[in-house]
Amino acid sequence: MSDDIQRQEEDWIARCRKGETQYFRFLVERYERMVRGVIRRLIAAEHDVDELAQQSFVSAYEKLAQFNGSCQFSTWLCQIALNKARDAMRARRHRESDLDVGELELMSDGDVPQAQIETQQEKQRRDRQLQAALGALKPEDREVIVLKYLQEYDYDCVSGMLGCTVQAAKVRSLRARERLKDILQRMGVKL
Amino acid sequence: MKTMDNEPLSTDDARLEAWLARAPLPPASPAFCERAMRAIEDRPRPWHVRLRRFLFAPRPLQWNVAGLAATVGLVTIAVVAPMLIARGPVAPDIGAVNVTTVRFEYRAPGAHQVALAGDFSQWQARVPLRKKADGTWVAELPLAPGSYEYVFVVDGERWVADPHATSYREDGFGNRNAVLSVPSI
Repeated sequence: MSDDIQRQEEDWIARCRKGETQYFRFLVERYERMVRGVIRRLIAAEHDVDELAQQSFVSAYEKLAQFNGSCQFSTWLCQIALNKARDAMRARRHRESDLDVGELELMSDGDVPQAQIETQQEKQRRDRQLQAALGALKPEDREVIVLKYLQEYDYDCVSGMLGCTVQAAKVRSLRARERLKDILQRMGVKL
Repeated sequence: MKTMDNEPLSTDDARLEAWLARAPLPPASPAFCERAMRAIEDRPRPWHVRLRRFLFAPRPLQWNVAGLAATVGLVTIAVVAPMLIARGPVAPDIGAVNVTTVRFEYRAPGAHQVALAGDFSQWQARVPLRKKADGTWVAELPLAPGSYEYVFVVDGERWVADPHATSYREDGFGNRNAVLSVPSI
């Protein structure tokens, strides 16, 4: 993030803290795709995504006084979204694996050439494949995949968000990646 | 691309990470932003935030000539009326302005009590004199300019006109009162 954008965010946050709620809109507009994306991947479902994302923003606004700037606002917000997703999954006693991997084979790429320019349809197919594969992972594997490989946070951030050591985050990341790779191969997805 | 920050990735792992990195984000949703902001704005805020907002929120000012004239009139009344009320009716202020302190003396070495009675006390013997060592009784009284009739009341029963007064006036009952003129300063 550039210094200008960083300063702009700090200004918006300071104004929100003074009660100028309208400045929070800029933060919502900047990060709504990220928050909705993270939650959608974390819960591996389509329903309740917007509701949980909205709860994440409301919670961030309410806790804004606690944001001390030790990390980027987006990281802090992502942590809140992660907690909301965890709460939701606990509340609905989410099954560890939503999908039978056998069902996933129906989503295989078949003979689609990899080098061709990606069409909207192909993007949608890959999105569905990823969503299905994440749904087949355990929630703790899913979390580390989302944070490390989809959001591309470094291990310091990931370990902070997951509440573990950097080394533990690295090990979890490696194992989760192996499991995801295995699931994708069984689905017939060509990487 | 590396894994665990320092080990080279296998081809499969590199492909997987590249594949994941291309995962699309959901499309932007202005409707979501609206709903989220409405949820934030509708939630109850702490009292100090509400107070600050009430006090410092900018408000549009709309006006017309009639409204402005009425406002000026009300403001004028609000400013001038208290001043007029505070001044009250125009009248001489005998309490604080243009007052002369008059010294009254009466020599009565054998008396036990001497007081003044006159116009200034509604003829009640309410102004006591104090006795000096030489037998002279003395009192000082602040009086506004004017003419006053008075007597000394000795031992509560004997009314005596001041023997050193410059003028006297008959009281209509066969006695006379001393007359004191207090000039304007």
